[in-house]
Amino acid sequence: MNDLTRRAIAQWTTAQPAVSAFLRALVPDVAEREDLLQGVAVAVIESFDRFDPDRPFLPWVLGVARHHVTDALRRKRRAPTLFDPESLDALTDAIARVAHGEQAMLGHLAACLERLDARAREICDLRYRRDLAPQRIAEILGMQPNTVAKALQRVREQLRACMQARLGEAEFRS
Amino acid sequence: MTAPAHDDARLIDRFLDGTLAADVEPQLRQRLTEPAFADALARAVLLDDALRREWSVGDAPRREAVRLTRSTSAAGWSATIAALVAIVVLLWSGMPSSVASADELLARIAGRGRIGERAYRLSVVDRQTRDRSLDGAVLHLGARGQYVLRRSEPDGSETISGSDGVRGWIIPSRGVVRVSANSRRFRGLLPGEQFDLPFLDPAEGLDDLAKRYDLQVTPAAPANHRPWTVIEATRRDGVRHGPKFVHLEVDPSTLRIERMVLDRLPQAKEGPRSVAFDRLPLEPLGSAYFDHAAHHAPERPVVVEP
Repeated sequence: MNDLTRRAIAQWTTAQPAVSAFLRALVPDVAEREDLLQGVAVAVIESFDRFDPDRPFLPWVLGVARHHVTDALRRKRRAPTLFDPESLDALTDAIARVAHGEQAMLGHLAACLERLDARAREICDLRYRRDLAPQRIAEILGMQPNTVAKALQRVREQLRACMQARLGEAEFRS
Repeated sequence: MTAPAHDDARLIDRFLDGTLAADVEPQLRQRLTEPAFADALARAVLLDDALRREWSVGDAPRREAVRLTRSTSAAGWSATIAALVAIVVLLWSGMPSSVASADELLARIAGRGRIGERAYRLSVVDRQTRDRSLDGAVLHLGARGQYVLRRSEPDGSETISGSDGVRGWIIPSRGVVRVSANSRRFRGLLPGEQFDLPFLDPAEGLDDLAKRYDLQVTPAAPANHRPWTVIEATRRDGVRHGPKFVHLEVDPSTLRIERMVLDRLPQAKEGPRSVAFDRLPLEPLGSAYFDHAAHHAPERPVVVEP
């Protein structure tokens, strides 16, 4: 493994959660996203010699990802995502801006998941592990779809508040 | 960082849950031109993606907090590892311009989000093991975390253990059925599992392989009567736990693991030294099959553990 490749892998490893989230915003299907993520990884390694090390890596890798997804959708003759070029620019820039800070916070996610009550866990399991839509979750649990949507919203708010608190505590201790 | 306004928060939540009406999509695009909204949406998708990954690897909330800490540096993400495997195999191929088919196969298996139901017959392949109860045991696998293991006890009775992906359960030949809110509660009966090698899910298992083992891939060669791609994994020096060698035979057309051998399993706890898993033909089971109720009489007493 040469030095260029070693650096490419190190950079990719750091950037991948942000790229994964970017794909999450663009492509609803989980399996398709994971295939795309692998494709982006390969594209990044193949084109890393064209990356200018004096510039930040994340915007560059998100650009590679965007190009890869656009190409893949075009090959499949699929409609573009709901984002137009301007809003996609805005989303790409935003992910590049916030990813670093968010990843520090997401380091506390597992601990905060422990605090969810049983019903919240059940809903999360159906939504995030089984990838079911709120409508289907509502049918399974005998709830109204709107109630499920609100429960998911509350879970995300609760987790964010918990992670922020834990991050604050960790920063205070250090 | 400020919280998004109420309407913005609803817009973002609907986007995340796939319930955004088509006539509201232009509003989302328009709002994205404002950096504060774009940042809020970016934060939301980062969390949502992290949640899906954390949950999809199985029993996330009960895992140690350190696991996700690793995952933020990408090591704990199954798709991250899948992509790293893609990179590694790309390097193995020696040419960044093309990926050998066997290497692509490995990356595709590792990155595969959904693998259908499978069944394997287990056999103890070493002669030293005295406890042969895994010999002939049958393992059914469903979606992530779902399994049913049927094994015979020395007296000829049968013990069935499993999980529906949320709850773990065990049905001994006599006595009460035990159900636990911990889906991993009874997975210790599976070979390798007690060493934190959850081979229940090939994708997850391959993540472990990629992290802890040196891998060698031999492509299928039907002309030479080798229909399956062989992946040989050797545990790296300094890595603790898990079998020393793992042998996988994968059907490249279906991505199914046809045969798996865990060889030189650690002997700290009694158990077989080498176990083979051979895939069995399978009729569709349905998710109800992974519920304990499908495997015992309705009048059987059930004790639910917290």
